[in-house]
Amino acid sequence: MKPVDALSSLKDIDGVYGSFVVDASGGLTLRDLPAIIDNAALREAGPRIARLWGAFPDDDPPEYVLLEFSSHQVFIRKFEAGSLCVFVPPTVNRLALKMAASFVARWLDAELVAAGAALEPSPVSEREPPPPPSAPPPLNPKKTTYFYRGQRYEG
Amino acid sequence: MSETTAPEAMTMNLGEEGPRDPSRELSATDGVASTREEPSAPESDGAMEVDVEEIPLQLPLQLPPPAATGFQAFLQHANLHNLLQIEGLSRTTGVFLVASQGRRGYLHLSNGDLIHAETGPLTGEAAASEILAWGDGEFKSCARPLAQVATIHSSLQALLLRLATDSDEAAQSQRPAGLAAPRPYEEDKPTEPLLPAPSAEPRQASSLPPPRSSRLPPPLPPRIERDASVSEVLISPTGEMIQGRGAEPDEFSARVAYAARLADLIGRAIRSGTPRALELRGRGTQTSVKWQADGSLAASLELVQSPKVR
Repeated sequence: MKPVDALSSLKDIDGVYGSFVVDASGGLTLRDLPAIIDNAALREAGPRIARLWGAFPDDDPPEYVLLEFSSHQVFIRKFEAGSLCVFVPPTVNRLALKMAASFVARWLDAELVAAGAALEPSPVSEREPPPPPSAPPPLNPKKTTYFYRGQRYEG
Repeated sequence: MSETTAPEAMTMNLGEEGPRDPSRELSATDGVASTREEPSAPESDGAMEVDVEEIPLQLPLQLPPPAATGFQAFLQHANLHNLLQIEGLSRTTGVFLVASQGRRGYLHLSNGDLIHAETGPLTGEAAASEILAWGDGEFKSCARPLAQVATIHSSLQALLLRLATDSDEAAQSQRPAGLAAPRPYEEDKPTEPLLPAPSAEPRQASSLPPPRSSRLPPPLPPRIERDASVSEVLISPTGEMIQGRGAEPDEFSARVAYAARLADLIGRAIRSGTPRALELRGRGTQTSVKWQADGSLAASLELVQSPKVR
């Protein structure tokens, strides 16, 4: 099974909009989201998501965070190699979601640790950045003007 | 989970849902809607004033005079948990009278959250537990003023789950042992082939869930500890602790303020706006944070007991 397929399995839970994964430092690793949420937004949110786990008491290992917004919620499940974030409606079956996220988190732990390297996010919505403008070649190579024994030379 | 049994019934009267024609009312004789002219009565502001608390109890077909707006329903098999969840999902604000077998209770909902309950001498979660254990009766909108101080801080979902767990545990302890006929564990295998398989770590035989009986509900995880709130704080928009009680409120409020700030930034990044609530669940604690209308944060820390098998 591909990692994106694992994320897609979360949509078995009624109402799940999509999900994405950030690694332990907040870097975007995987995504299965509608294009309305672009990778730039997720990259901006990623490090904050990674730091959220620091808000837990030292002696209490974190399990999940639920962020409630006016129209939807973001369920964030911690796993060893990062965080799994799922966009859900407020009416989602919370118990089923927790179980499904737990399965996916375990699978990601096994896969990502085995891979040993972060996977590139799926190109869903982000356009390729335009190439940086290269400087046009100078039409006239710059010449140096100098004087020698009263004469003006260029070269 | 508790299941509704056939004899249970709740009459539902919702006063604020959708349009209503005041000239129509349900006939108590045939159970279908019939139209009849209302006798002319002095009306102060054009709307008939209804005091639902004065409606005689245990007369399910004698519906009260029509309220200003909304539908009335008589639901034969609804239980109170279902009705309350409907109101929760609708983000209702108001007070509901629950009447059952001569008992009365009031459930105060603010934006869909159960914030206060009262019945007899009981208030808060104790009252909510008492009311929500009633099996039949009436559930209706009520003109009682909404409580200004919240006495219930658990989410409605958590409260209902806890009550259902308690109810199931009580029922299970009263059940004769002979009913618990075990069935093979293989019958509980997942049937969904697309879900990723759990990790390959070996499961101890003792960690397997107990065998189920076909006549008993599935086994429930260990119950969440009741009344285990250990800290509560109220933090101003500028990050000052306005109120705090419980264990180490200073440290707790600092963690809450930090988490809330990160949540706010995450909301902005994904263009979702300011969060309304935040829940941080650890193995042993649960922190619940709510953004208040004035920008302050109300947070509570509860001790919870997570299931060992996940």
